[in-house]
Amino acid sequence: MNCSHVSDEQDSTGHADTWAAELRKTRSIELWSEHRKEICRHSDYLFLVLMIVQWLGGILVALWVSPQTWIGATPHIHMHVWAAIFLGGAVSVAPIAMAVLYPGETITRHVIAIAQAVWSALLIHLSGGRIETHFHIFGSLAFLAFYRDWRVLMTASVVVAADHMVRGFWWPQSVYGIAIATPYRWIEHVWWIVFENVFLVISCLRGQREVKEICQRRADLEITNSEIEERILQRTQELDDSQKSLQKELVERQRTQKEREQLFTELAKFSRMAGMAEVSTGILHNVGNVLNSVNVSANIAIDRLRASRVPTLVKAADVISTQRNLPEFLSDDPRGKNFPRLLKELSANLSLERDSQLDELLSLVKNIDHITDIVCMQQSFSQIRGNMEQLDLLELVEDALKIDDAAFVRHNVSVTRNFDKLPLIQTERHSVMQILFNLIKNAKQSINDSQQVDKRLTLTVTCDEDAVSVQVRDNGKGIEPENLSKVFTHGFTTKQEGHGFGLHSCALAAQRLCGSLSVHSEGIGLGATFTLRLPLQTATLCKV
Amino acid sequence: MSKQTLHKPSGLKTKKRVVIAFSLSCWGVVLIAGTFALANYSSAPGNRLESRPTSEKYEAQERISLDKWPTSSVISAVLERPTLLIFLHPRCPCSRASLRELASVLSNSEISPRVIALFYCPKGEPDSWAHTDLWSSMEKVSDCTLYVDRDGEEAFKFGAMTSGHLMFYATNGSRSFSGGITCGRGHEGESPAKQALTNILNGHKTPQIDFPVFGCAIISRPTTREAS
Repeated sequence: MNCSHVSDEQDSTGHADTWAAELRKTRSIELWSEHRKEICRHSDYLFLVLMIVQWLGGILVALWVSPQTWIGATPHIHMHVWAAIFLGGAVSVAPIAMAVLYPGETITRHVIAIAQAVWSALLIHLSGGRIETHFHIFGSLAFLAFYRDWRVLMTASVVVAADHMVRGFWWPQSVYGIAIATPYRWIEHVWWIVFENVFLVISCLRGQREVKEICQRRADLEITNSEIEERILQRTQELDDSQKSLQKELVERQRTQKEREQLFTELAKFSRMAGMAEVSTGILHNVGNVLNSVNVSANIAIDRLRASRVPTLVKAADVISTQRNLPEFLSDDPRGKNFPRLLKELSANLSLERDSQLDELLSLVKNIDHITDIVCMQQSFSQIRGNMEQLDLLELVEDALKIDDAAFVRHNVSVTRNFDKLPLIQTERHSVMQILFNLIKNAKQSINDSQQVDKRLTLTVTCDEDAVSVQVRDNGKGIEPENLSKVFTHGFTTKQEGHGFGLHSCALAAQRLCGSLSVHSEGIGLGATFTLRLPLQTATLCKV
Repeated sequence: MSKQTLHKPSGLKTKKRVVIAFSLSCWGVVLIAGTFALANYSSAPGNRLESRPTSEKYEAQERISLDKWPTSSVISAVLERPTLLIFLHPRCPCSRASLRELASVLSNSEISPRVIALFYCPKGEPDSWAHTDLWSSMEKVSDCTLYVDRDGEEAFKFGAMTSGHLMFYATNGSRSFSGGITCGRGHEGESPAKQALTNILNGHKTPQIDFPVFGCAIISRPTTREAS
């Protein structure tokens, strides 16, 4: 921002302030004018009522006090009655008309002030100039002060002063109640009016000032309210825009979340498939190993069968069958004489051969049974997942170990079992099996990859109040500390032929079973411990 | 910020102003005239007789002076004490002020005159016609005798034609005060007449003894009366 921009902004702010101040001032004047007019209008109506009351009151008083005047026995309506009706009416009619036709106008309140002063004069006259009636003037002035317009007080005061001056000169008894009065007595009366007016004028001016201040504050308030309303509208618009944006973003996020869930589902599916593939690979590997043994056993059996002495026996049987005189042959013929020894040797060889074949066949059957077990196990774990069932975890661990049983023997891995007594747990068999198989397989590979002489795999199963833990500990090559946090990450692997699916899918499976899978390693060459923790009872799978 | 619209204060159009000014001028004239007429009425004294005719034929008869107690009066003159007569129309509203002023005068006088109040009563009307609040007020004045003046005969004899007329007779029978003691119709307050009567009742002399009377007429026309 350069200097010219600053200057422009200051000018703009200055103009806005000036405009706001001008608006406040104008609005204040407008409010003051409205308020003043309202006060005057209200006062006009009050005086309208007062005029009617004074008129009717004058008539009633005239009818009560001096209804008739008499000339001997002849009564006539008293002059005061006519005066009350007509002169009183004349006095009141103009202010009433003005209050009705032009309420709030300046001329109206001045006409009312004149009329009220005339009413005072009339009452003073009709009361014979009683000094008490003069209080009507003071009361009227106080009443006129309702207008909060000192000019109205001046108008009334001038009329009263003129009345006192004129009547005091010509009819002093009419205004003072005495026939003997100095022509300047009106000045004394006017002085008292001035005395009262001083206070009333001060009161009016103060009232005007207060009302002006109130109007000023109200104008400020209105304009401030207007500004606030405008800001609120602006903020509301902004909020609406933000809400729409958020809604749009929410929809976008929901869509992304859906895609993510879909991807996750597919990933889980692929992970499962990968896990299954690994399991299958392990199983096939083991089956292959066993098949080697089967093949060896079969070849041995074939070789032994080929080397069997059965042809010798057949030949001996042919010799015997061709002899006409078997006893002579056995006793006389030199070949016959060797027959018993030959048969004895032959039977001994065949016995040995049979035992050997039997051993091989038994081994073959055993290996075939082993293959059958592995295949059955694989078949049992490859079924559809999601069924929660009560199962014996130790049995499951044993099954997992059994898959690699031959490999442990082959690689001289000693397996140690530290199993607590466990209750049946409710969980999903296949996922647990997948996890255990992976952990055991990884441990076995880690042990094999290490240079350990004493190869040990330790499985510890413990139980607490609401969960069971399966620890798979090996003394293999271990895990680097910086890789501990990555081992469950999708795609992370330290194996040359690994894909990084196994432990990731195991961790997800553990979470889906409402459990957890953790790893601990002291470092390279110090082995690793994987701990699977599962709740005793899992009613439904957890969301991951 | 929305711009505020300003309302120009409403004013009266010139034509209306002219009409209003004219109307108010007329109104002012009416008020002044009415006030003047009312003041004039209030200041207008009633009729009075300086002398009265000896018979009904007013124009043809010899006139009798009223400076002395009329011998034809049914009210006897008592020369031992001064007498203050007051003639009242019992239904005259203006005379209430006269009675209040009389009470004021009597309360400030050293001489205690015999007070006689004569209340007009038309012919054919019962005496109760005269028993109004004025009658009651006069009853409260000490040493006061009240008479019903049938058809204003006594008033005529004394030459009093207006209610509120007071006459003061000294012990020698001469009339030393005649007139009303209010300064207008129904107007209370200090007046030369009241001052003069006060002076007389206090034994002082006064240069003027005849004053106008403000009140209702007791006798409309003196020619209808028969002089005694």
